[in-house]
Amino acid sequence: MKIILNGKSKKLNSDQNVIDLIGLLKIDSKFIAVAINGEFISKRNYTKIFLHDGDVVEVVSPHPGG
Amino acid sequence: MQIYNIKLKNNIILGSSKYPSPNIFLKCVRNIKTEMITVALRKIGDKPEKFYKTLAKTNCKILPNTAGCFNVKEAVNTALMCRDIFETDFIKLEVIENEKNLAPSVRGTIKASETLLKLGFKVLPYATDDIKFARRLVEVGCKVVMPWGSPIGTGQGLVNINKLKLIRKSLPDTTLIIDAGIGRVSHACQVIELGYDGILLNSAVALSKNPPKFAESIYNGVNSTIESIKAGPISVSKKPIASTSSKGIPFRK
Repeated sequence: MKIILNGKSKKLNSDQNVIDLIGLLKIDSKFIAVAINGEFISKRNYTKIFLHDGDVVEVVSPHPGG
Repeated sequence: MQIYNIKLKNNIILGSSKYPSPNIFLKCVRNIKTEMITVALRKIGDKPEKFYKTLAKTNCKILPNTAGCFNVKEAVNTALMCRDIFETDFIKLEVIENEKNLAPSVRGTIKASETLLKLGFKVLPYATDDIKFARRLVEVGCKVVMPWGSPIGTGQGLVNINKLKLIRKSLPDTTLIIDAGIGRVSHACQVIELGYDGILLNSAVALSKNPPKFAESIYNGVNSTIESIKAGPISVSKKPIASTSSKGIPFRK
């Protein structure tokens, strides 16, 4: 399946949850937050939420800001 | 100043953006003696932990923002993501309406404030100098309101002093912080002289030629102003009053 990850198309195997995606990105979940199709996903739900074809996923991290 | 349930000794909140380097940013934090720093969320880059670790070195409280949000849904979801990362209920709410002057959306900011307060956030909304806007934010439950001095990053200072005075007078129990428009030390001093509780600034420090020195100057200016107010300045008179005695003036009868 294909998802849109931070604005770019990404191929994924089926039956992948959010924690699988974070594993593929090789990042520590402590430093990030996730939204799928515009809706925030809590860290405690990363294993429960599975990705679907066409999902628009945002993975964000702290950034300098005013 | 009182920020919901916490009291900060320092009246200055510092933004973390646009510094020449992380080290210069850390020096500015030290020199301005801030206890609270604003941060943003953006799509992940190469090393998402890098900035997080810089923040940890400041030992400051984190005030995440919703910068770049143009509607209530974006702002609320960004706030939820901020809470997930930073484990704080504080949120600097920005719902922008006008991309040109980065003015906040009145309706969007009020609606997002209501929603976030119900979700347990401690909302610090970025507002204009409009009294009705500020009052509505207090009515929906905001304990802090942050009117702009002038548009973000302009350094124009306080362009509508009378409007800002009216907000202070009308909302005596609300913590008022000027957010945006500060360019010089004198602007920050003016904020304190207007009876405002604090200042939130970023570009003025980060983009100055010598940010650590400028940060120190802001701290000194603000604290001198606070001390001078405690010392009791004279009241303003419409008529001139000579400083020197009128008795015994030479060449007079």
